[in-house]
Amino acid sequence: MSNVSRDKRVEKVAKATWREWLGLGSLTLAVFMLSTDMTVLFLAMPSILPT
Amino acid sequence: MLWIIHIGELLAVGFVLTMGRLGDKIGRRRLLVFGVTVYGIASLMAAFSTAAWMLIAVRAFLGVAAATVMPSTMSLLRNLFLDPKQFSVAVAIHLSAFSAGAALGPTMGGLLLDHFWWGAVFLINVPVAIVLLATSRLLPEFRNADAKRLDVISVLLSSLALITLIFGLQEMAHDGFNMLYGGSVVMGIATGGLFIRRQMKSLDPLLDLRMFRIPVFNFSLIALMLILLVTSGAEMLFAQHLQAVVGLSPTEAGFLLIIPALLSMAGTLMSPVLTRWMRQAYAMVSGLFVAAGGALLIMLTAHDAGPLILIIGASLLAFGAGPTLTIASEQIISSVPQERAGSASAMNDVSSGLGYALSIAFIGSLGMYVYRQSLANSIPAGVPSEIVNSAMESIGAAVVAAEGVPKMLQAVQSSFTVAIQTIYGLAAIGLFVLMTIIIWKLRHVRQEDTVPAEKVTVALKRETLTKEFQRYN
Repeated sequence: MSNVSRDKRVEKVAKATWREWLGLGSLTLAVFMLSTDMTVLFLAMPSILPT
Repeated sequence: MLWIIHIGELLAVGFVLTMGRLGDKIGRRRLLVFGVTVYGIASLMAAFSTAAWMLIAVRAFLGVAAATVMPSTMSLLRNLFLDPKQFSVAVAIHLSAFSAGAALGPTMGGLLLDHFWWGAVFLINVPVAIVLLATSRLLPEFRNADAKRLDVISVLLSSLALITLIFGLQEMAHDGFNMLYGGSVVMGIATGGLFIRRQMKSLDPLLDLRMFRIPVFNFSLIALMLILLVTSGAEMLFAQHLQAVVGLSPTEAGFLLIIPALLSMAGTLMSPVLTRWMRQAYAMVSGLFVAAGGALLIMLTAHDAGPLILIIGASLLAFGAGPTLTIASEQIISSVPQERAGSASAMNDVSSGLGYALSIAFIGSLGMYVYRQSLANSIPAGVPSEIVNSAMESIGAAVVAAEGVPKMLQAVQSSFTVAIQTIYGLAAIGLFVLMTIIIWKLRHVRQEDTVPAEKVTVALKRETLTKEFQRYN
């Protein structure tokens, strides 16, 4: 298949709407939660629990 | 107490392959909703834990729940964004959240503890989880209708292999070699071998090894692992250098390290801009060139530089690494068929996890070896042996022990500087090697070849992949 016909097929792909971008916001929030949770304990460790 | 942090990290990497495959089978959105629900409940329980063992157990649950989130979120991006340029932007935004979380996490922890009780650091996850669950309907569902039941033995083998391997490497980096840690690494490699053997024989494997026959997938995984291998251990030593040699307090060092974390975020967001002008491989190499410049700046100036120059070097390194981390992940997810995106995303996490663990173990240990060798040759005459012994243990212990002995403190600091210069010199060499690999193996890849467009382009990709798969079989 030539590059020209391949490019034409790619151009037909649907663009994302506001709904997809809001979905990205939701997924990004999940990653932010995980990432923060991994590092939030670095300074907090000495204060955690009455140990 | 360190197990409160470690248990979650170990289980998150250990179960990621299983969760990647499970998402493809039961539905990526369903798995994400399940994982976020468990995460929210476990965070609530962590906040009200009354004993260390209880907190460790809850953190274990959090680790397993975390393993569900990464593969499902990354693979869902493929369902959401069919246009390659939009997909590229989406991946960059998605991954920049990692840098943002890493930058804000320690500061947020400190602030929460100043104003609330310690449980607040866990409780903060609960409202976030509720928002996520409320907005999950915005996400499309995807499941592989052909997927069969999960192979329990493969699940056990993959988890055991990753957990024992990473446990052994991490603990060796902290405490040095002993039979338990060495045995753990050997067990991880042996179990990993059994896992791979089982996958080769299985008709519906947990990890489809045919993905590794796709050059883009393979070399992107290598690029991701290499960049983390080169940079993670160096960053750990850098944080110690700021305190032990430059003389900053832990809080000052923590605040200063927010700058490279924010620039890492900026570098991640730069990648879709760069790929508008040039091919992905050249965008990665451009970033790596800047990163190598940062590593060389630290190497050349560490002996007398203040915190400003050092942070500029670390920021260049973090900023330059951003495009490679983003584009490699993008290529990993989009180079396989849609129904394998969950497993591909899980491999993305395994590659990152291994790169990080190997770096902490080997680069961190190499740095300490150089430090000890340099110190052994420069110990001033007349220093008591107990001070020398403490100085040989770790840089933190060395600074405390040598506090009242200026000549010894100077020897400790210059020896650690030699170690930092060696490690950053090696990091620069590693980055140039990585640039060569990328130019050699990925320069022909065009963004359009690896688009995540299921409706149109996957059909095209399947033609290519089918040839690859047939050749493999």
